[in-house]
Amino acid sequence: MIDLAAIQAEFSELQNIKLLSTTSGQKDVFQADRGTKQVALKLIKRTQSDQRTEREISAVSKLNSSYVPQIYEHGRRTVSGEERFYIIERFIVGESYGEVLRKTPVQPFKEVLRLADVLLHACVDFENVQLVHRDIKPQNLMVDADGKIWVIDFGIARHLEMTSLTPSGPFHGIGTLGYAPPEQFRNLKSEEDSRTDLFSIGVVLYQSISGSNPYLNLLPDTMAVIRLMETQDLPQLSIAEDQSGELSDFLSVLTARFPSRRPQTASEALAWFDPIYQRLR
Amino acid sequence: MEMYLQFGHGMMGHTRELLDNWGGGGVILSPRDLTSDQLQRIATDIIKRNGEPLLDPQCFAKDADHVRLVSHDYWKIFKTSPSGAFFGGPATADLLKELAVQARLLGVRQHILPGRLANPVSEDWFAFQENLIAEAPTHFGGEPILATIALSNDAMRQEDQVEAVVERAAKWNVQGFYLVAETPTAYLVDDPGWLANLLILASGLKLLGKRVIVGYCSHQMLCLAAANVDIVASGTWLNVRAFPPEKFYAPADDDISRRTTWYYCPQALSEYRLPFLDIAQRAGILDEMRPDPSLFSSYADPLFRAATPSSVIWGEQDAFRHYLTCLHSQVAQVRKSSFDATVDEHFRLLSSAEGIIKKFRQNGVFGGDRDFKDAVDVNRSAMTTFVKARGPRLRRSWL
Repeated sequence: MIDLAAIQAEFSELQNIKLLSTTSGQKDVFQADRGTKQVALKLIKRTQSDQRTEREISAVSKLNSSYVPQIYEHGRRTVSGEERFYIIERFIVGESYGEVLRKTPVQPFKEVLRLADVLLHACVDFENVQLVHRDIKPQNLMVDADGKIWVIDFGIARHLEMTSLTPSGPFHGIGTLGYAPPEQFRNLKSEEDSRTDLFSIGVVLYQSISGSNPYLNLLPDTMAVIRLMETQDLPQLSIAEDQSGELSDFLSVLTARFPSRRPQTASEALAWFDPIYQRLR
Repeated sequence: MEMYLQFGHGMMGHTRELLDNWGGGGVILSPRDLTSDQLQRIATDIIKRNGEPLLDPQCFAKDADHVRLVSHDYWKIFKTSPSGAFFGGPATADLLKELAVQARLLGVRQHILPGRLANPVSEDWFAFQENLIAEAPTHFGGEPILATIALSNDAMRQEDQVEAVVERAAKWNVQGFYLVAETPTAYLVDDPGWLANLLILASGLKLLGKRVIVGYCSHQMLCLAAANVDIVASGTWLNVRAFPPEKFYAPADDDISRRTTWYYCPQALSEYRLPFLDIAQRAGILDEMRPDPSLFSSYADPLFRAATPSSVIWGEQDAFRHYLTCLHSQVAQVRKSSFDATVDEHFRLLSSAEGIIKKFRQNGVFGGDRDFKDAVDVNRSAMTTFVKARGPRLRRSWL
């Protein structure tokens, strides 16, 4: 039960605190004003381990990326007698890319190119601080009022220098079915690095061009989706604006089910994509 | 791409002659086929001829019992040490120390590490490899180290096992890989999935920026140029043109039971018994079986000058030297300046061979189980699968 009055009392520097209509399983997210700025206030539930929370915050606070909302403040405060972690970050006014795709499943080609450019640059920023997002999907991309694209929700980010908190060994790791690569949902930690995010980026781009996520067509049979992702690569796209097939080849490489077949780093992927972008945009 | 000699039974004379012809070259020595003294003699001869000896430790199976193989001092350590002693125990260091002694005596400068045959690829297999790799630099004085990757036929047929090797090998501190793959057949491979996986594995290792040597190759492996492999190794008898692990269990005096002389027609990628060259002559197409001069083999010239080819005294020695000379030249010619050009060249080679084979067969000239007729589609299928898997990355990285 959310006690807005208690939250307002503890966060007296914020005004107009409103619970957002969507909350994840890990945290309550609010929109508020801090002076003239709109901010997002995230209160991390006590069900989540302190280590994971601190790691999320630590990882993202190290980022210096223009594609990720800036964290203004973080720490611990007591709300309704309970100590909770909190993050106050820039609030992105806009809609999720998931919502964009719901309204227009097949995106204009040039917009997809722009999206690819943003996501690959963001991935390079993550790589520079040895961070893997691990949950890139349309719902975790925001498009603001100016059309700028943001990557949000580092709730299951993995900082490669730290010991992983998601136990290896179990059949399934963490991630979103249809966007997480095989090595992630098989919890093969040693194989998770930037290539994990590159796969997810590839699937988002593929979906934006083709109009659907072909893996998710097999739902509700989750095991069928997993089997498909493990045994077959996505069919090569035929893109009218891409006569030479180089973008199509690039998407095939991003979404290769074996990490060794993808670009080995985000920097390599961006260097690969950049001349394609220059030619096709 | 270059070709090294894969040493096998009775190859000392061939090695000397061919290295003289080529002005040098690499030779992968086989302890299974040579005593310690013979190893020393041939290594000296190789170096004298501007060649480079390498030593394949052939530690594929601990229970191997070929008399010559197990007579070597380093092999005795491998065989007698308990298996557990190779996982963090002293046996790894002892084995490598003895191998290093052997290497110094032979003048070896690139060191192939022992590698067990993976059946399947497993954490135990990785642990054995990685213990050796971790220990190796202490013993080989900064000289290049090549990790042996030996995969069984069953492992080779599993795409996920092959990719698991590539993924793990990315972390190995070695300068290259010596790849040995158990073939599904005694000679020409009939499984396109196996061959595709060999291409995928070799190219994946090459994309790590390391040297890749593939051992036990036949002319069917000319396709490895598209995987950007550095070196393929081949030899005289079939058991050095394909990899049969059982040869390391054979008794000392087995070796070669079938002694038929085969003529290699390089443009057909096929081999023929001499009576079929007689048939070709009667059909008026014998000249079409002559190798192109660009392959520099004069060993088969007598067959094309005689009244009938089978009347010429042309035996194993000539046949082996002809095969290896042609293959040496073909290997040098197959890699082109781009990935796509190299792939196209291989498809062209296959189409051309297919047409030639068809004409030969129409005229009664058959290669039996060394006819490349069925292997054409195996190679085509494997290449097509391989291009889809690795093509985009290889296109970008081709130098």
